[in-house]
Amino acid sequence: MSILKQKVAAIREKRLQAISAYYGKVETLLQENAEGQFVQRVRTFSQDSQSDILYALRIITTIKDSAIVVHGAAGCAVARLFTNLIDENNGKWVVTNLNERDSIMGSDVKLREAIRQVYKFHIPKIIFIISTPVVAINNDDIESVVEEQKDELGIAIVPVYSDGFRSKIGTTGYDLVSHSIIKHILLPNIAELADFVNLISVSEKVEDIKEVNTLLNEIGLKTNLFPRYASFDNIKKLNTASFSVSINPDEANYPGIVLENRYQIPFIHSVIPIGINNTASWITDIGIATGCEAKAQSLIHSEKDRLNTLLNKGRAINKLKVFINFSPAYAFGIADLLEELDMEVVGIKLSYIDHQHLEHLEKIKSYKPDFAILVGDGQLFEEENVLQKIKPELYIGDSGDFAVAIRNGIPVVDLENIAILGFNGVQNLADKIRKVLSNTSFTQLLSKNETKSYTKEWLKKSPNWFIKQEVK
Amino acid sequence: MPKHILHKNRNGCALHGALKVVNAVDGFVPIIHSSAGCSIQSKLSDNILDGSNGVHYRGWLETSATAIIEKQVVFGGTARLREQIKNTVKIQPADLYVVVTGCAPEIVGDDVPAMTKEAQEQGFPVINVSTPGFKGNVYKGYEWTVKAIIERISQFHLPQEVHKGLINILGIVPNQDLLWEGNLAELGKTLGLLNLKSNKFFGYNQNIENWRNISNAELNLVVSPWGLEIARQLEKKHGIPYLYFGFLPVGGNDTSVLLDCLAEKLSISQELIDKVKRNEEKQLAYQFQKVAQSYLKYDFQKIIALVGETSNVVGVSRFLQNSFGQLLKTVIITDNPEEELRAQIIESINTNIDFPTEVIFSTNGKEIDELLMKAKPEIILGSELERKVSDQLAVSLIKISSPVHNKIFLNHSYFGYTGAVNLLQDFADAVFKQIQQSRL
Repeated sequence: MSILKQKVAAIREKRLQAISAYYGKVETLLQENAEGQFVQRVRTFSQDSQSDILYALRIITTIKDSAIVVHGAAGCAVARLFTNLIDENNGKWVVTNLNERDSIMGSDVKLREAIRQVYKFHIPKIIFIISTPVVAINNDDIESVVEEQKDELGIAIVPVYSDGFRSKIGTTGYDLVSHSIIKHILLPNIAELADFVNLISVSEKVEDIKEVNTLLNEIGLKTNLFPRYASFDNIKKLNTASFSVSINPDEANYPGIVLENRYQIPFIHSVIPIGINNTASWITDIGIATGCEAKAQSLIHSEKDRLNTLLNKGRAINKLKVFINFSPAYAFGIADLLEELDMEVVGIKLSYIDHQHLEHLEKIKSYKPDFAILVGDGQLFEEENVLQKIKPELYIGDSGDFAVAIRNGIPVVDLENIAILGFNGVQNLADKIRKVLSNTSFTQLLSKNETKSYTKEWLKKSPNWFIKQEVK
Repeated sequence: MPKHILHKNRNGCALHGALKVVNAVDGFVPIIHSSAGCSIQSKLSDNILDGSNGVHYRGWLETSATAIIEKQVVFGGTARLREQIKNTVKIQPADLYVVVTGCAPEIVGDDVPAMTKEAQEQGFPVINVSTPGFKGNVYKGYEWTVKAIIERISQFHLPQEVHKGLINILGIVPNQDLLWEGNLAELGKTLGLLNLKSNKFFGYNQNIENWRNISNAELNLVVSPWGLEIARQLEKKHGIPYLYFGFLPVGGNDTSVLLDCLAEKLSISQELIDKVKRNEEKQLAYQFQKVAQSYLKYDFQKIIALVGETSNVVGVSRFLQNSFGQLLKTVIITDNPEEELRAQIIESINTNIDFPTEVIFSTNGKEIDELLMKAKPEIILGSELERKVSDQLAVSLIKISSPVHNKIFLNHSYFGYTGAVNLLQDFADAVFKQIQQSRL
């Protein structure tokens, strides 16, 4: 049966056995998997983390020709203020602004009015409706308002059934969006094939997308970008692609599978193109599948030569002890890249982990059987505990998550500022690491601040003290 | 246009207001009881460029939160909250823990007070504030949370005696007011000139001691509509009189009026007041003189529109109009003050008979854009949400209200005598930027 028959995408905990709370050796996880599945653990103390609503907003704000109705209390829409600066749809959003009465009596009248207003003022080609906890708990009927308004306005209306509490994995929000777009905009029939591939980008930076696109163009492929920065036309063409190609396999997994399932578009589900070997594998996989293998091999050959002459210039960075904090595909990709630079990964924190990562876990187990990983979105109290114990010399992470590293005097490379993908990404990261290490005075200054964030008792405890097996 | 649908909503919810309050006090720790993501929404709505959580050197992702899941929505989340409170006190040291509740547990009906009472009985300083987003905005969240904290503190700390010259400053919403920290600092300095001590409650070095002293103050100075209810509560319970000034004065005229009002309420010698006023006004006049030639040569007199919360917008409007020769076309107040206060706000802004000012109360981005397009100002003072209109009109935008995501404010302020100099500086920058752009 088509996955799209379902109203919403299955949560990642169910679909991929994703877990978001773990600290310990990888062996335990592999053992659990061998016995059936990863064990779901919970935290008895937790810090706030990303929700599916935030992740859904993060992609939708980049989709061209669209407008957004956040259906809920006014506060659920203010994250939109931040993305307002950088996205395509400057200002095209409303919130239904539900009050106490609506939370009891229902809110379909307000939803209808919001859709009409946003259409009247912006004439978008797509209106997205983001559902929030108040609406989800009351089980307000969104579907019938959507159907009715679709007929009345004659445009695409896409309900995204986020709720903030079904999944602990924020990335589920990405799946919800892809599911709803394909379900509500594309017809189910298989169309005539065109000569381009769907390039599935969910959270990549513009510079990264450009880099990947250039690589694909160089081996002779034309691309159709989805869902990030997609236009209505990009979406309409999705079912005519000859292949779908992943960038980040974790995030591309769902749209890739859905398109394959409904339209039989082969999904090239490769490794993330971070590091020399991974990028080469990624191009090779795509080259073989699409019949562009010769061009792919010559591109890899010339890029490897170029990098080899460039990489060893400048300050020595080998043997450096590094901590990585990222979503899984990125973290494992960066670990591979650092290995190519002869650096030492001494710790990894992942926002979640699931069945797609078993190979990586096996690899860690074979090299370093005692290596412990931390799994958690945010949860910086655990991160600080780990960092103080393993004392890395460099921290590579995502923006926003590195407060702990800085106050412990560990220099930070924030990947938000550099394009990391492809062959150029290797050079970019090596350059950035050299630059950061060339002057760490600001980090040293900040580390002198007295902090009272956590008790000494906690920092002495084992990092998994508050991670418990769920009582069923 | 029906009022309830909000285009480009700029104000967070009550829970966000509560977080901004608790995070801005050294030694106070919030515990969120809600579904995941509320603290992140709050942070994204204001000063994301300051990656910390208020005054603590604590990252913005380090907020204790139950992050309830479906099971707790269906069966109730009190057990989860009990566990979270119990463990928060073990991990995050604090003088006061404030449980703030979001939409989901409020709809489900979790008995949160029972959980905090339990923790109190164990000897932990834990209180709770009900702050669901569907009940109020960020400013209401400020008011409710400050009141709840005062109530808790006064249970344990009865006023012994009035501290002569101690003034509580009420109404500045930390982090929502972009200039909050600078405003508090400058206000404190100005009161210091009169030998008064200010109790700021928020920001650098403000901790539970300041809150314990709240009932010992001689006077409450209220500088926005959002401190009024708090002042009334303090008058009723502790007999502290209050001065409702309603906004933050900018420049010589209004700041001197504030000093006179303070003198009337407190016993300050007229000689001292006159001396301070004379000195400060003289210094400001000196700066005015320096800007005079540019003012004429580069045509600093502009048609102006302002968008933002009462506390900053009223003061800045009055300064621009009454001292700096600007023509105020439209002023849009975005913090949704109570009806009873609105006439007074309009009256205090619309003072130029030759060039009347339209004063509108709105939080609706669409309406605000339309008003600005119609007004065709030559300079806009507002938030990043006004960027689109300012680009369309090809005019400069001076940032005075949330949200702003491309300027760090640190200790910047427009309050008082020195604040006016900052405003002159920023105004001049905006004019020159516009001249430069029109040349290209």
